[in-house]
Amino acid sequence: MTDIANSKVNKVEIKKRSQLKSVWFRYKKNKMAVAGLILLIILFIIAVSAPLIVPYEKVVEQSMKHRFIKPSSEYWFGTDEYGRDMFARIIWGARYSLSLGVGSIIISLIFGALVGAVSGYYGGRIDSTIMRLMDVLLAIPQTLMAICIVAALGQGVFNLLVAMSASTVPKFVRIVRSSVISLKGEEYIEAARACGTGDFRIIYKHVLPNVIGPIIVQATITMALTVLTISSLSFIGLGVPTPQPEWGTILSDNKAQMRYYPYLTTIPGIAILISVIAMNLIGDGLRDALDPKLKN
Amino acid sequence: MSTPLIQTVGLKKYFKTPKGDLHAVDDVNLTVERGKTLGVVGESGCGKSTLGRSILRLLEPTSGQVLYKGEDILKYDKLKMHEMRKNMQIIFQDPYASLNPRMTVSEIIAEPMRVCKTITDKKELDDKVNELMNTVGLANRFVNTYPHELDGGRRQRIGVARALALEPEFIVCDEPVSALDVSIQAQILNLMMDLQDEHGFSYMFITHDLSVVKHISTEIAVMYLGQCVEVASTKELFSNPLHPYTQALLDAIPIPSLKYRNKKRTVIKGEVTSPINPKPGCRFASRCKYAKSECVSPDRSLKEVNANHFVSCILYK
Repeated sequence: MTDIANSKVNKVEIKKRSQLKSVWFRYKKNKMAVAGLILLIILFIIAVSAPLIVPYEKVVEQSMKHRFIKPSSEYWFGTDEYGRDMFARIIWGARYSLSLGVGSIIISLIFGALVGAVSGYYGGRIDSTIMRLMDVLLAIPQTLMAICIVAALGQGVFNLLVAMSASTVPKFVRIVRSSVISLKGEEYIEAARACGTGDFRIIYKHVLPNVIGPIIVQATITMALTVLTISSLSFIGLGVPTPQPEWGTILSDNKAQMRYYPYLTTIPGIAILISVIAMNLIGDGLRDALDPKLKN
Repeated sequence: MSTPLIQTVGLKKYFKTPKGDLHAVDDVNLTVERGKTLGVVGESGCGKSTLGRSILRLLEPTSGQVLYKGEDILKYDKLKMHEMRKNMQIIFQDPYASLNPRMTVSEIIAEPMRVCKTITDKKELDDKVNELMNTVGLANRFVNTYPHELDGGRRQRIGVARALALEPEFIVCDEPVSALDVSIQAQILNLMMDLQDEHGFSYMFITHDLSVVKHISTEIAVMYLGQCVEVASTKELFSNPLHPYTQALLDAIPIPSLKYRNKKRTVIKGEVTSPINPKPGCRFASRCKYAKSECVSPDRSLKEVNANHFVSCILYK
């Protein structure tokens, strides 16, 4: 009897699908999310292979003869008031904008998720200490905070990354913490403890996967804000140091010319827009793909 | 007499509240024999679930002892307790809340074995998961499904399979069937009884459903406000209930017959008294029709009235 049952089971045995595969399976159903992913990959390829597309000299080369040339076959995106090739600046700018935007989000995401999860999971004194620290960080406006850090550490791309991450971390910590608190009384957490699961495994295996939705939404929103904050920092001279091209910097540098040469602000604006849209699409797709309940 | 599998000695669990200590479990002495089922019944909020969780140390008891084969597990350190957990498992009440919604069925069942590293080989683990699914009557095609795609009965089977994964000796069943409809209840109960016959588990079966407890238990403990008021074998308890609370409880079982439709019931008067800083003496006294002035005297331990029939009431001396 059992033999028959077993042989039947073997015949219809279904291959266990790995988690990553099933996430990808659900992700690719969302056409917009796939489009966002392709867009971001293209942007990354451009950023990585910038030296192959245009040499760096073109970015900083100034020429009074070639000021304010409108987009043409020779200068695809035109030139700015110093006669620098806008195409080269946009291509090279992708390096700074993307690495700063994505980098700071990844740092604050990891840090925020860990600290927030620890704070919410353990509660008590650990929680109070962490949250008061975060309150201190939150009390200072993001831009002011970034200004302080850059002013203290000095101007530079890496310091800017630190500044941007530090000023976005508190938001992540709060979101993760509140989600963890609402989850930690759940019976499946208790079930995990009943078979001796350690705290760390409970946090990353049972708690974090269940709070991923709000985190990703927050991350994609913050991503767009970060690029804009960097540009406003650049405007007051604390962002990416000139003449290094960064989309936000280019945008604010050319603000004065917006009325007569609109392409100077439109093109970097479109570049920022594309990267932010790509990020948002990916974020939406990921959130849905990671939640098995939304599978249709 | 051999040492029982699980024994609680003066187990207490108090919760601190702004108004004072909430006596959720107060001085409970129970015994679970090997291969037997102890049913724990009582109304909502009488500390049944807290008792089960305290025995497993999911809640740290305030005082008392939990003896596993004669050894006090409350004295175990973290590492020893981790080993210990393989021997004791729990099945939860709500199969909708007790399964992680982000994990597939096979992951949920494999998780305890991964954590305790009882099986490390991947292929072996998959085989064991399949075997467990067979044991609890879950079709193999559900390995990749998520809990929310399954109905309550199947979900509870996952819960049972997860509890069995570590091959424990003792399982606390915290109202495992109360969230299910009646036909599924019977399936799960019979499954659990079959598994007991096969593997010789001991159950502590927590429920408020008297027909369920009658069906599955060999012994029954009746709880009222954190205390154990009567312990007896199932047959003895149902035929000869001694404690006034037990009598009222059994009297409340509806009888599905027209003959009894006009039957007068004794209804317990009043409300459950607050479990926060309770007065000494019998906690049921304020609602008991036999209450006397001696009922407030602090002595309220279980006394053996008949053979293996314990009751804590001054009516029986």
